[in-house]
Amino acid sequence: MAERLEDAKPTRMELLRLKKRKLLAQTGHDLLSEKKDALINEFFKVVDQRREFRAKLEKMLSPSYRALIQAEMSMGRNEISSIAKGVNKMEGVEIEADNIMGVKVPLMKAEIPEERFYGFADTSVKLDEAVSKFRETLKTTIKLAEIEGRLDKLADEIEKAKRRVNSLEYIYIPRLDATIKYIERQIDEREREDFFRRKKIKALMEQKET
Amino acid sequence: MKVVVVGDKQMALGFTLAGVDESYTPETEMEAIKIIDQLIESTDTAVIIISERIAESIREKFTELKLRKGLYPVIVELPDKDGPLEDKKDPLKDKIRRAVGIDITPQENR
Repeated sequence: MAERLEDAKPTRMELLRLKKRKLLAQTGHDLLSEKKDALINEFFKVVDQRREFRAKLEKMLSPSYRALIQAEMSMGRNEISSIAKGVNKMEGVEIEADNIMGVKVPLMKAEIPEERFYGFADTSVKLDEAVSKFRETLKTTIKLAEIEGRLDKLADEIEKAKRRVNSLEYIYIPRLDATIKYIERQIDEREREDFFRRKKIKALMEQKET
Repeated sequence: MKVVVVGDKQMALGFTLAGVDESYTPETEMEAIKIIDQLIESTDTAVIIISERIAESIREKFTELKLRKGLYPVIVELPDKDGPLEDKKDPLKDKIRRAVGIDITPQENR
């Protein structure tokens, strides 16, 4: 049996108050555990997505590196580095916070440039290949970043919800229950005493009359 | 918001060609830690792409640094040119296990 609340006085007022609190705690518990289940549901979806994108990305990476290394071999690394300086950068990513069940998760939009930013002369076709492959890779990476960020936040939130549900279920509600029972017992006891007293007085008075 | 890559030369060069905003090629672990620390502190970084090899070499400190970040930046670990690490540990695995794995509390059948 859980220990009861310390400051509970065994009165009817207190009993009513506690019953109200228990109802509230119960509703809160139900809502929270529903939220937790919904989050876990969402979480599994994101885990699947992540697995898919990771596999895709890892498959894309090695051909990208290979193309780049081949471009380096045919043109020299310094040449490519200086071309890379003239790259038209992406305009950064736009970030927002998406909302899943009240959990803020990242949402990103990125514009990857498509145009050529170097001359046709002195550049190898391997460079074209490397650039286009890395652009694709980057696109997938940003998508993956979004998914992993989501996963991260959802995991945190699930842990929090779980802790709350557990503390309501195993500590707070049992404690309220124990206190309610205690007060009920006290009140019953007082009633029995009262009843007995009345009986006794009645008997005394009847004795006097006769 | 910027996308930043932290990795070896090939990784930095490749992603730069694709258009990422900044790239770093730390030579030592200390340097890597410093760079990541600064990136997490900065408010205009959205994504950090880091090579698995570097992340693995500073794993302890890295995990600690990650605790300090909010929603952004998001950190993605990618294999470098030598392919995925052999005995790689998934950095999110622990989190996943903690979130759903220990759900043995019998609350559902109440």
